[in-house]
Amino acid sequence: MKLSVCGWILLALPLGACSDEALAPSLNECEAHIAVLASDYSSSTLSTLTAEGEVCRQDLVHSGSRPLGLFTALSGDVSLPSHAVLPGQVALLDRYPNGVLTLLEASPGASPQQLALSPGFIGNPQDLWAHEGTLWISRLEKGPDSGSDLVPLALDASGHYALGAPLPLDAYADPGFDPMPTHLAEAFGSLWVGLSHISRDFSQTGPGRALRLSMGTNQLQVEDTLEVPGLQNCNTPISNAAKDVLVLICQGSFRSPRPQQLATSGLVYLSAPDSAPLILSASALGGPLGSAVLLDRHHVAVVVLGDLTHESPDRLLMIDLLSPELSPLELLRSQGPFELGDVLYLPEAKRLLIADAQRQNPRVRRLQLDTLQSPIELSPTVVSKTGLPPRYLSPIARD
Amino acid sequence: MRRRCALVLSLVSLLATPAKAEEGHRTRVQGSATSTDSAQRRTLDQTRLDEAGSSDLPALLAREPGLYVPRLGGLGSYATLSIRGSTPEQVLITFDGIPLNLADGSPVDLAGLPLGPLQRVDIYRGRTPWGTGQVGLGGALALHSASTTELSGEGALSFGSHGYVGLRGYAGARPFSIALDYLNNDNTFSYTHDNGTAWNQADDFKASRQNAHSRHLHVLGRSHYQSRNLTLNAVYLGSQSTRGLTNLVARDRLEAHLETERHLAAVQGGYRLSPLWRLNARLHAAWSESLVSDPQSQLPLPRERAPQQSFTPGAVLTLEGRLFKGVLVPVFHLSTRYEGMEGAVVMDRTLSALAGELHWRLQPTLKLSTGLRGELGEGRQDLAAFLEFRHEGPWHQLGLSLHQTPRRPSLFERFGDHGLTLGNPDLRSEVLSALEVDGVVRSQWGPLFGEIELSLYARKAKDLIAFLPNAQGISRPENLANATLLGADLSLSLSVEDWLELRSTLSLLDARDASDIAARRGKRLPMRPALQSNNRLELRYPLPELSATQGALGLAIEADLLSANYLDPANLVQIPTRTIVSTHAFLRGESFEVRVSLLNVGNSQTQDLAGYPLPGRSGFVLVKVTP
Repeated sequence: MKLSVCGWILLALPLGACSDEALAPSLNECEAHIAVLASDYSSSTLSTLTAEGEVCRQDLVHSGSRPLGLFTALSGDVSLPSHAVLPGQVALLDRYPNGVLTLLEASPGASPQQLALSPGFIGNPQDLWAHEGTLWISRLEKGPDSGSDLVPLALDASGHYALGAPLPLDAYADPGFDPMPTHLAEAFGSLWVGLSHISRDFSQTGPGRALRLSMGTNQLQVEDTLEVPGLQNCNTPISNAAKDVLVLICQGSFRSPRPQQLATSGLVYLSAPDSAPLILSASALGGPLGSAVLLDRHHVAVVVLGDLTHESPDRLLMIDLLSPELSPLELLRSQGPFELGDVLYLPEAKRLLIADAQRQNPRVRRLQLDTLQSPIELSPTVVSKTGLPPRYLSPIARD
Repeated sequence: MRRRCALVLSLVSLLATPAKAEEGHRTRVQGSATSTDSAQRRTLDQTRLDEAGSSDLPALLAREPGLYVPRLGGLGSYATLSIRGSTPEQVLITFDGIPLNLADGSPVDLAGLPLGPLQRVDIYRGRTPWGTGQVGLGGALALHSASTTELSGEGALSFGSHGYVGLRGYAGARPFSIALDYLNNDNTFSYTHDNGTAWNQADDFKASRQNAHSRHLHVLGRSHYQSRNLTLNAVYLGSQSTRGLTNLVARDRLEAHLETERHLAAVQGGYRLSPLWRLNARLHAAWSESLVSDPQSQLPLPRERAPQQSFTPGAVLTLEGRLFKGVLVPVFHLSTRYEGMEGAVVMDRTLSALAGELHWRLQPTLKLSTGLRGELGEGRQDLAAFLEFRHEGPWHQLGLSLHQTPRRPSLFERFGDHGLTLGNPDLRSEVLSALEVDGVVRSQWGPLFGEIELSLYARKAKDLIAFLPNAQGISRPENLANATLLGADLSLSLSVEDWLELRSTLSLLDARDASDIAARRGKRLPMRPALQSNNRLELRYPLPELSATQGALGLAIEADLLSANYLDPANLVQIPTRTIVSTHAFLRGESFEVRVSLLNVGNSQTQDLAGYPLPGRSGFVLVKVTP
């Protein structure tokens, strides 16, 4: 046996010792600008990066940060919101099965605030958007009485967030499907909600659809629907920093054969609220689409997913959406399929970050884009001591 | 050789129980005539099975060294078996020689197996015998049912906490016997729900387990015929199970459940060809159908799922010789089996194997055994081999085993394109190479009898198959990992005639991931606790007025220790160390027995998997009548 006597003694000790205290920060030596969530879908860990994409704090909290109760502190299915939410805070969306929002200070000291987002049913929260002090959460799945909706969180008298009355979206799903709101983005003065629009048992995918909502104080109202004929699972709207263009990513059905998925995946480009949508099929890019980010009004960096069956890699492409000819520039590629995760663009530093979940060498890769046509890959950032691969990136709002 | 095996069996049986405890029980003959094998095994005999009382098979096995049995709830709840750090899929489980592992390669649910009709359970923690036509990379569990040689019967009723009711019945008149085993457990125990918010205790609440019921009904029939040169056995086991599918998050009005039906049948014959050669043949078939129903789509399951059917017939022919007065025992196995799955995906394959073993008694107390086995099918071949030495003296026994055992990728792993999973036809077989040393020492000092059994092992597993999920929740299996496993199993037994018995087991395991994945490299394999110990002290007061041979009043206290255990490959999430104390009492007469058990006396709130609480303090009563 390899274990020493000390090893056995340690094993005999109560093992709740692996708590957040053990990871307590010593110094606030850096300013966190980016949150990185790393996960192998069994356990998760959160780290932060500086504005340049360098490591700020590794493993701020992770799945073992609290002694195991009925659930783990963080499950293996945790994501980050698409947008910065509250100044200096990181929001974690523990999707399945926990269904919990965790808010914590990106700087040392405070204990996380937590709230169950779908008590009694699997809500599977997907994204979070803050507006005038209210946090709006998209809940993918439906329970007996609610779900597959947008639910508001507002501060109560005790200073804690509490669930409000949800905005149901059932009316915007075809019969046999749930709307399954997924990601949220603000553009043209409205909130856009991408719908996965999938049957409740996830076996069928409905027509591609997104919703445009007007934003009032403590309330949202659906104004319009954006139908995307031919495409499916249009769940990810993204906008640029000026919020004056919108790209909607449609992934197609991941449960369909790849040719079928490819035929129903693509992106939709809206350069103005009432302009005719420009649709770019994923077939032309060689794979269904993953994460994407707008670099300016018409350049998008998008992940084209590889193929599990043929073990072809993911590719990060840059596409000029206004170019009459489709001539994407390959910025980088992964080693295997489904390794490239979230993409985040830092306009001030002209730097593009992408989570690369390569098993042997997981890291956040960094591209310097001083000129869009000549990207330079910088040294990557290892975000976690646990070896867990990074999946999601999210900006942290500053005061 | 048969005598030698019988000796090993009887010695191990002695470890478990005083000799007199066997007397007076109904006469049963062994369920299946196994061929000669030298694989080291540990046997739970009738007395140990009776000791289980109201418990089920998983609870009984969890006390054994080298075995880890995680489960999802109370008695009757889904439970799997890991032997010396194996995965549940790597363990071969047979019932009267019929392999129970489904065609898709999924683990056998131990709680779905009956305890009542069993006469003996053989546990193979190292190399598994080849006589069943299949090998288990991680070990094997061989369940043997009882038949009768005389008119006999038995009935038992048990009940207890959380809606538990059990019924067992047995009747036999040579050459037929029939057994019935029914278990219902509503599993409505209470637990503390943390609402998924580990940092927020303010929203914790007490809840009662919902939709966690388990109902299992088994009917066993068997027949036995024996003449001078011919032995024939026929067995049938029909089982039906219904089980609620729980989910702690979707706890409101949860209706999802799983229904399983299974039929096993086998005919086995042995014929003495000559004084030197004997031929054994077995035909067996296992058919099962499972149907998941989730009418409200409350779980991430398709609303309307096709029933999943598994059909695995097979045949094994064994030729066994006894040459030079039994000094040389050659054994040859020829086997073939079909594996078919029907459901969302239709898959099948036929595999055939040829194996040869040679057992050579070098000296009266020293035996050398070696064997080679090749399995063909799907255009590929897998080789297994072993070399073993065994020395047996009157008060000790020593064994050394070197073996290599493969596990072929299952049908599901290779072809299971199921929407949420993608098969990988290019998977290689998992291969385990192992060095195992075991020894038993016994001694008697007047009324005091003691026995110590120690096993040490080093295992290296290559090309382990694991399903890797991607961001879309779609998993594909890969030959992902290598692992090294070092361990020791210790078992101690001390008894003072019929008055006192102390049994203690200790299992140590250091199972490390040797893959090149950054989050796993050098970490402990999840769900492999480093230390397990079961300790039981039983005091008996003989009551000859109730029965001259069996009458007794007994009290027992039992303590189970399980060290901290990681749940994830990155070793971030730990289940803390736990100790569970239970007490038992029994009163036994000539034709009756009453057992009362109080489990988890300290009401520890524990779990084997996150989100699946185990019951706290529970009480059970068993009344058994033997007319």
